[in-house]
Amino acid sequence: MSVITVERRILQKNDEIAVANRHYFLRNGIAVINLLSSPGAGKTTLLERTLQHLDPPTVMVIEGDVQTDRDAQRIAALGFRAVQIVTHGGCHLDAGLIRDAMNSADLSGVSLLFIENVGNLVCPACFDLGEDHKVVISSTTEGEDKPIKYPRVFREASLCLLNKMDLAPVVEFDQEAYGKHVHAVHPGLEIINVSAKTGQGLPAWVDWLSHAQQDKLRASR
Amino acid sequence: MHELSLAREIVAIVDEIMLQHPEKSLKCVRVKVGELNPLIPDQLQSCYEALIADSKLVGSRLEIIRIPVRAQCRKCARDFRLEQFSFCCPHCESTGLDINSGDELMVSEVEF
Repeated sequence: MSVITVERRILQKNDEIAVANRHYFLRNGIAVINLLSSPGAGKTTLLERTLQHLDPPTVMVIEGDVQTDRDAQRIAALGFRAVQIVTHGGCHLDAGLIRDAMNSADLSGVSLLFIENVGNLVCPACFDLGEDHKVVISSTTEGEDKPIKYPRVFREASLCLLNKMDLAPVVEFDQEAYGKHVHAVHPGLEIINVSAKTGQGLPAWVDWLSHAQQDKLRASR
Repeated sequence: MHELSLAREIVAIVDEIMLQHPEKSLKCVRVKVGELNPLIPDQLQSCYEALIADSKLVGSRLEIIRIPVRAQCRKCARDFRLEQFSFCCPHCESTGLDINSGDELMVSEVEF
């Protein structure tokens, strides 16, 4: 019997591509936001509302879905550049898929890239894409306990958006309990309450994005 | 199911090692998985077994070593095992922690 010590990270290949993606984004001053949520939390609708506050030539969206290009069509209908990645069953995006999407896209003039990950609160959290920030979106209709049921994604996030605030009274959402759960897994994580329907919280979220863009521009100089 | 993606990466890493030892037959692959990683060990096992069925890795077993999450409190300096993803010191309730283990996701060793 012989034993060979390996000590190699399982996701080393993904992480190497993510580092290359990150270098590319830094060189080009592109702030990259990876949006993560369960299916139906309102990612795409929130993104549509967000885009109304942004300038089309400076923004691009990469959409990740198991099937169909419906989301990319919705974004393109608003006049923004959109690339659809169809994973054909894959439960998450990885760094290689992002690299390939970038290679096929025109990123000239882009300073903000949204990556809308596959709707899933587990797997996407484990894969570095080369983004600056993971932003987790959960909604009041999903209940208060999502942060403690899916801690990794909340742990990894730089920001938490609590969507569907307009429905909070209907579903008797306990916001204090939600805040406690978020901060148990990620002490100090900023939470912005939003509603894609009424526009609540959109200015604060857009302001946060603007800071992320400014930070990236400063870093790229 | 990201277990399949992880199993593919494990097999790719082991394949590379096997190239350097073509005369040997693989018995076991040991992987370390920290508890911060959401992963179902049985699914990782099943994926590994399915992937090696027709390869030179056939007959080898995958041994998954779970690594607990351990943290040290920056305030009271005590070291403890973190339970239930509650990132708070059980002694002084401070949330300023250094995570010392639990994030591992690696092929640790192979046995021939």
